[in-house]
Amino acid sequence: MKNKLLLLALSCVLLLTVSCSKTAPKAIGVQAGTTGQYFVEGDADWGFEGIKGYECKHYANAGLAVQDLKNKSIRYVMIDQAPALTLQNTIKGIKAINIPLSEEEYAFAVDKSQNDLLQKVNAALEKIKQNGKFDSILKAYSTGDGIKPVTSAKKDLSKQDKQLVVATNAAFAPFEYREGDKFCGIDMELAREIADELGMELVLEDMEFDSVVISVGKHGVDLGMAALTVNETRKKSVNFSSSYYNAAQVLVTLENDNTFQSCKTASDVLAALK
Amino acid sequence: MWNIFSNQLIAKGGYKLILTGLVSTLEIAIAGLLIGFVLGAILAFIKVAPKYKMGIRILSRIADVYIALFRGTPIVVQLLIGYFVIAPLLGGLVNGIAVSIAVFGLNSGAYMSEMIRGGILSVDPGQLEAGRALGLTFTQAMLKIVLPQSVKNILPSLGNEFISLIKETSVVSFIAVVDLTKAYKTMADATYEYIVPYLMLALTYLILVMIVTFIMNGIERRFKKNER
Repeated sequence: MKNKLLLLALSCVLLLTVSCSKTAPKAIGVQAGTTGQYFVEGDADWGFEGIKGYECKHYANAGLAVQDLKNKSIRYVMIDQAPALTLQNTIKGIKAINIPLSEEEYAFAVDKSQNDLLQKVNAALEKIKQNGKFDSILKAYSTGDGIKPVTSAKKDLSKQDKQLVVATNAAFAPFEYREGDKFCGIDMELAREIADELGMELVLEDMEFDSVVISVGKHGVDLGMAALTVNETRKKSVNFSSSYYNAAQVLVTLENDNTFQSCKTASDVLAALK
Repeated sequence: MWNIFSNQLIAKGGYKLILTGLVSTLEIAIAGLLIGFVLGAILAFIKVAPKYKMGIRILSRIADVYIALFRGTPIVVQLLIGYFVIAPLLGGLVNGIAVSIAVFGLNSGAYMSEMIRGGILSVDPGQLEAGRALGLTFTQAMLKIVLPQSVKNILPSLGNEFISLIKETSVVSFIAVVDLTKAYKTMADATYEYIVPYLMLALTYLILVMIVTFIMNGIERRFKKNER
């Protein structure tokens, strides 16, 4: 009996030491369906070569990917620049390597079957950019002051032409996230302004990110606003509005990870990954 | 950790989202149970009916195909197909909750048909024979004599199925329905603090299931009154 206990204790100690010192496997975490996923996996349509030698792990959102990063199940996380900086400020123990690895533009996905909606949305967006509301929204989210949470109306399928139904994935601060039962974020406040310009009631539907693009055009969904990067594959199913933000992919690592210490450009980062 | 969560919950109005989620979960579970029970009863009846009429034989085959289809695919797959493939084909404008109720009802019907069939078969066959001997048709004998007696044997499985349904509704977030799980997950995603919300979510489901178990035990006790 004593021998068995001793064996058990020894194996526990061994497991503990092994797990404490383990180095994360060569894997990069991404949010499923985002540009980051295609950047790591490589995709001909998107024009990415992929990062060789690293496994791509999919997560429902960046927050969960970062949890696994802290648990050392993955080595890095690839996500868009603005959310990466928000994550760095909100979660302890991680840092964003603020070197843009790609060049992208965000736009809104618009239902292809509604011809005039695209022009109306573009016109509303143009007006918002010109009267200064656009800049004040961007400023509110970079400083943290002046955030106005958006309430979503209840979806009523009989009032389709009076409701602007927007599909989103509200787990992508600072573009869209939830505070209690309200929505906050750059995309959400822009949605509210556009709905006001068009004189329609705003309905926000929160869903998984990879469902957002396929939902546009079905079940009464008019727009998809989820920091969507414009790309040819998506253009096959939806129209895109004019772009409203220039973005890039960056890496998020653990705070004490010095792999990219001396990197200055994207090619340095990619070289360090080999 | 707890104060980050309670901040989201109370100060920022998160409890409203949880209430909405709870109502959706219960709506889908109860409606699914009722539809499933009715469908299951019809299917069970078709399967136990004597097979000397051609009509019954055809219906029985159709019932077998239906049951195999809905027992053979995962509920998530059924939800995705129902919402993204079938609903657009049938005109397009349906509510996520309506699709969930339909899918859970159909799925539950397939499982319940087997439970109800078991309950019917457990009633002494002499009951049915006596009914037929007294001049009742098969349908009348079933409805008035056998089915009421079979309910006592179906009840435990029914309770089980209801509990199962409540827990299975946790996947409807795939089709953009805000249920209990999605409500808690939303609050967790907002704060990047996962431990407390996930544990509270499990606790909420546990409390719900315990309430249902308590009610089912009460109903079973009531039905047992005729025994010594």
